Amino acid sequence: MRKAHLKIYKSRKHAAVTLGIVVLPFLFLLVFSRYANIAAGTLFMDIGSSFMRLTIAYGISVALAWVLAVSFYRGRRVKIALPAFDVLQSFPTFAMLPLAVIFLGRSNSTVIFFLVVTVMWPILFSIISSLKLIKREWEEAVEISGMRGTRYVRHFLWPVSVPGLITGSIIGLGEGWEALVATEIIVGMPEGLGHFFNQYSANPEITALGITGLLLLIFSFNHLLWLPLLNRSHERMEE
Amino acid sequence: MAELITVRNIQKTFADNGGKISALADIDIAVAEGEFLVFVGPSGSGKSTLLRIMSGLDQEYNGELQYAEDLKRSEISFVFQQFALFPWLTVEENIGFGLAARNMPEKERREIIKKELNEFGLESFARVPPRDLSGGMKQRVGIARALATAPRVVFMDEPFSELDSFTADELRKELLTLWHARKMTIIMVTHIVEEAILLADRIAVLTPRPGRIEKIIKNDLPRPRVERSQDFYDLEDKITKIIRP
Repeated sequence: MRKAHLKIYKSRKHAAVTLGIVVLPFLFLLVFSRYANIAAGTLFMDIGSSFMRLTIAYGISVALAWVLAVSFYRGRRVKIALPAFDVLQSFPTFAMLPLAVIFLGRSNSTVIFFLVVTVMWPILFSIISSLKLIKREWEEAVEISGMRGTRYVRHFLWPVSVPGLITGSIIGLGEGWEALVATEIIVGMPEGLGHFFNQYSANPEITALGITGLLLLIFSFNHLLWLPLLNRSHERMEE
Repeated sequence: MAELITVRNIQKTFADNGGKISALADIDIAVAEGEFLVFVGPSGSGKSTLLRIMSGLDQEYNGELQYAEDLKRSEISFVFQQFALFPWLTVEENIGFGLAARNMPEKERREIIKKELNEFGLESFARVPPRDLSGGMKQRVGIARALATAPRVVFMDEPFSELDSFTADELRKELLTLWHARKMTIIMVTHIVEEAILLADRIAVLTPRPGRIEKIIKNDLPRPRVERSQDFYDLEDKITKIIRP
């Protein structure tokens, strides 16, 4: 079977406009660093550190959420698993932060752990929703074909779960950015966006500009990657 | 001819609001190799349920289902009423799905897919997703997918009921040609009496719930069958009277 297309942009113009939107926050941040008299390198280092933490947490969250979703989306297990997931996801994660600091210290691991427990749930529930939409006839067609094991996962479960994965990623990462800054401030990380906002908390102008830059960055990232992916994944499931 | 599939005293019940509904009762029939058997009956007669039991898709029933010793599970295929094509795959990938499941080498798989695309007139749609096809084309892909694995038995669940009458007529003729050429056994369900008479060697008439085989009629009308002949009308009347006495 051929590899799935990665064509997520409708046209070259679409890709060019999207790239333009992505360049915008970087230009903004450069101008901002000059205006606020902050070394651009330090600013980008803070953004890079936070981005790296979120990326690692996102990777772990996707892996965990996907494995849990495909293991528990049907059968008798779902009757126990879903209420259990629901209770776990509504648990106030910040209440565990002091405990995590004791065990993991003021480290990247603590921030990443917190990001995982924040980002994972929307992804898990979205993937489960996608898997629950599997038509009986699709399952029967797979069963009659005799497809099993890794092929079953690759050619059937994975493509069916992708729309949920993308929807969940958009929601999860939105919550992730929010939790990221707060966790970095609470944990007291020496670099990252939390550190940046904490440092300039007495300066409302810089804080406001910083928030604008962060919003532009998130907005552009959504336009570059997530929205085209979301459209593409839903289009691929149209019958 | 040797019996390929035999069912004895098949019964199926569904749970409903704390009670039980009997969907199928006392089903006994044997299907010979190469035969075209059609189950015909009204809605709720358990036709699709019976087909799923016979194909092995539904294993929750009482009674006995027996396959000939040399019939392997991989030699069974299924055509679905609503096509059941995978929307994330192209036409050629859908056709090759069963072959991929069998771990067939890429080159061999490509050859079979190409052959099926030609057979069903789908060459120019090979890389198109199913959503861009008409209903008739979708069912062509569904049948091509079922036949690509060279099955000995093909189960068909009302395969033409979602199509307009012209397309359905065309596909019935193509199906008969393929059945002759590939010498497979076809077990099909339909609620259209004319369709059953046009296609079947034998017609098993099912009663409304619980579905029972009221009568098995050997269809001796010469092929190709003419829908407007007196014999055709007589047989149609006979079957209709059994379904609606």
